[in-house]
Amino acid sequence: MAIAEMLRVTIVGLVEDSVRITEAIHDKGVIQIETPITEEPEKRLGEVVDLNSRALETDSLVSGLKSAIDFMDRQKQVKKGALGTFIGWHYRIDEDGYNRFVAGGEARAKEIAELCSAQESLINDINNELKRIDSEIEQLRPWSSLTLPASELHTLKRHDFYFLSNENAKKSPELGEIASGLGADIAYADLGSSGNRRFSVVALNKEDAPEALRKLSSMGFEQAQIPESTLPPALEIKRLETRKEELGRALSEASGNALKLCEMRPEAYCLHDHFANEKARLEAAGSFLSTESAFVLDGWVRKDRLEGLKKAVYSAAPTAVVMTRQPEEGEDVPVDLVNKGIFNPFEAVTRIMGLPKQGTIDPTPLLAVFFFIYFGTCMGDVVYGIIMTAIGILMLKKLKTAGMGTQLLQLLVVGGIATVVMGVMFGGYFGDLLSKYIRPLWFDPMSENGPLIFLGFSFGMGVVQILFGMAIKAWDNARNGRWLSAIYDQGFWVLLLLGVGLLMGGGALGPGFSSAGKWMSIVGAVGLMLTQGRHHKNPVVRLGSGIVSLYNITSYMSDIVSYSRLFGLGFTSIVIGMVINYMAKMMLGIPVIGYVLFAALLIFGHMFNLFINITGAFIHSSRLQYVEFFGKFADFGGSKFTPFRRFNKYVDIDFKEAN
Amino acid sequence: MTIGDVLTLLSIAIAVGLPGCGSSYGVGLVGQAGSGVVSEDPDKFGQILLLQIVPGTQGIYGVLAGLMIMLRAGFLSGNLPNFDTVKGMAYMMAALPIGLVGFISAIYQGKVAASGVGIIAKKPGEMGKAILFAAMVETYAILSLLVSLLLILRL
Repeated sequence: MAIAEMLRVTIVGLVEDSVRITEAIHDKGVIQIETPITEEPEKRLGEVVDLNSRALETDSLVSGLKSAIDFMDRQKQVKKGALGTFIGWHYRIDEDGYNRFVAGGEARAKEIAELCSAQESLINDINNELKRIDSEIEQLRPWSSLTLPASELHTLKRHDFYFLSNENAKKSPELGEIASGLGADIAYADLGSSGNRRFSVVALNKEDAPEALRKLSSMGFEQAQIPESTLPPALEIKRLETRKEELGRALSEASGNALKLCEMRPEAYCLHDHFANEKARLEAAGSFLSTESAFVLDGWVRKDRLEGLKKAVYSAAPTAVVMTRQPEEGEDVPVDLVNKGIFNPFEAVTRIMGLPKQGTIDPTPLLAVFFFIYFGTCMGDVVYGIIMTAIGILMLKKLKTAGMGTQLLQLLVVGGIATVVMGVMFGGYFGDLLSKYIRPLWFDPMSENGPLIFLGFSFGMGVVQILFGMAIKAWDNARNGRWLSAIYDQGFWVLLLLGVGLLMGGGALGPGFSSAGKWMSIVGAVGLMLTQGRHHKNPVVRLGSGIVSLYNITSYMSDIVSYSRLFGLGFTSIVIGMVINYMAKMMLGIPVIGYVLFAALLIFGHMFNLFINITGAFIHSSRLQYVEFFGKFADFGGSKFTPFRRFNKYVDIDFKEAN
Repeated sequence: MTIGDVLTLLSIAIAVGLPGCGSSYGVGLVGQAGSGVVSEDPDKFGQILLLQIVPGTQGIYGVLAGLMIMLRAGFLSGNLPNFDTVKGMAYMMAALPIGLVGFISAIYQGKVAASGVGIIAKKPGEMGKAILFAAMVETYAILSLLVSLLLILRL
């Protein structure tokens, strides 16, 4: 229940065993490889054995398969389901199936990549041509009343033909009105218009053409291009349209073939992941320090996983040597958390914040009870709790998750149980649906004094958790020999806070409590004044900063006030549940379909309330741990333990039970 | 119907309307930022959706406060409460904390959550942190809801 103990491990082996050893530790996945940084250029294994070029080859296989898979995805999306998009989707396959696909090896991987890329370029070519044809047709259409092919209109001795289009035909003069004013030999024909645009063809004698064209352009007649063709535009359009139909048929055939290629998807997934893992192995092995005959690799391993690692390495290469040593002072030792049983799901809460530093306290078991109560308080409904637990258990059974995903689902189950517990306390059964029949075990938040009791309970939890956090810090200080620190920094504060609490509320408990509170606060405050400035030498500064430190009481107050969110969220879920019931009951007045509407509104309304509150409950129960609780004792910023292990992007292999 | 009743209705409008405006702005902002990421990587949809609902809670708190006023004043049972003017104004004052803080905090929470979309785009594993940054802003909405609720329940 703590931070895992790490050992520095060094493996020495013969160069010829290097691939087998790397494969063994990769399969085992318990060692975080540290690439040694040396001053002098040392020889790497990649230079001794030819690993680097093999890594490159494998890389090209992987990227070929990746683009093949992307191509298939563009043809036909895989149905991932709503859940898949939340928790990451994988293709599930049993071990035999995986091995069968992987047996195809490099040849098959290349084949798949080539088939897909050929099909893709075929489809792209067709699409490009279709686009080109469309734009040609678009350009030709205005000229379709021209009965000659455009190319024949360029071949006169003294005259040239120009195609003109006038963008704003309504506002510019007709060609006939201005033809005489151009000062050139001109013949023209009007070819009709489309929208505002008017098209015409003119013949101009060669010498005067530039000047005439300039004048025409200033009047809105722009020169236009017609795609080259030996056919008159109308016929050319017809030809292109026939071609388009042919291409359309070819495209649908190609798409059909591409869809057929999608059947190879499972195979592509398996091969992709297989070669991606191989690439990772080759790259890792390439960076090991090495001589001509032996190589060495360094890394971190969890102490409890060492035996398994040794076994795997020795069975891969009997001549290899596995050595370990304790971490040295100043080494950045990676952190892994070990929490078993009931505490395991709560690890997810800690991990979202990050990891505590090596050698400090793992807060997971310490926050578990608080998180449980807070989550339950924010939801506070027996039926909601049962639904959450059921969904959690169902998803754990149905989905194959690992690590954080499993922990979050388990947390859903545990949170569901907490919700049931607090629901029984508050008498919440689908809001107030059954409150006439079932009495709350503790109090009804909607009763006259309910909200105040609820608020008091929230503050009370805050006081307990904050004091608990300070007690942990005091214990941590004491076990590290900082006894004075434990008394000065935590002891006096606890005394002062408890004293202030008693001073304000002690009167209700009985005579004497109030005055005890007064004296506790005075002792605490004086103690803090005298000790909080102890890092300063100058006695005046020392006392001054001691007095200033009392100002910190505001931060404790705001910490406690922050716990009122438990009331806010808990109350929200109850009241909204109540209103949903209220509206649903109004439906009962409608004849015949009233009961259907009642049930529908009840179910949808409460599902909505559940969904909104589940996120709020999780976020704010976590936040209270991170800010208010961890702030008192925890020291975060440890670097994460990332073992060198197999990673599958697409597939999820169901391994047969090892006998 | 008295002036007090009308002022009570106004208090409901303040409690429901202002945080609702803020939340719709905030949720909208995250949606815009998120659409950019989802267009590149549709698999991040679920994560971003979770971030998007975070600034939506102010709207719910506002509805909650508004419903409490309706319950206390008896609008839900269909009768007019016939409050005097002072009582109506008192309800308005009680609605102001959640109205104002809900409005402003939803906007800022939306901005923080929209920036958090960048975290999800670059480091999907750190989604929890993006949500927490946004949740920090929510504290003040919860505190103001608390004050509004306690006042409404005591009026």
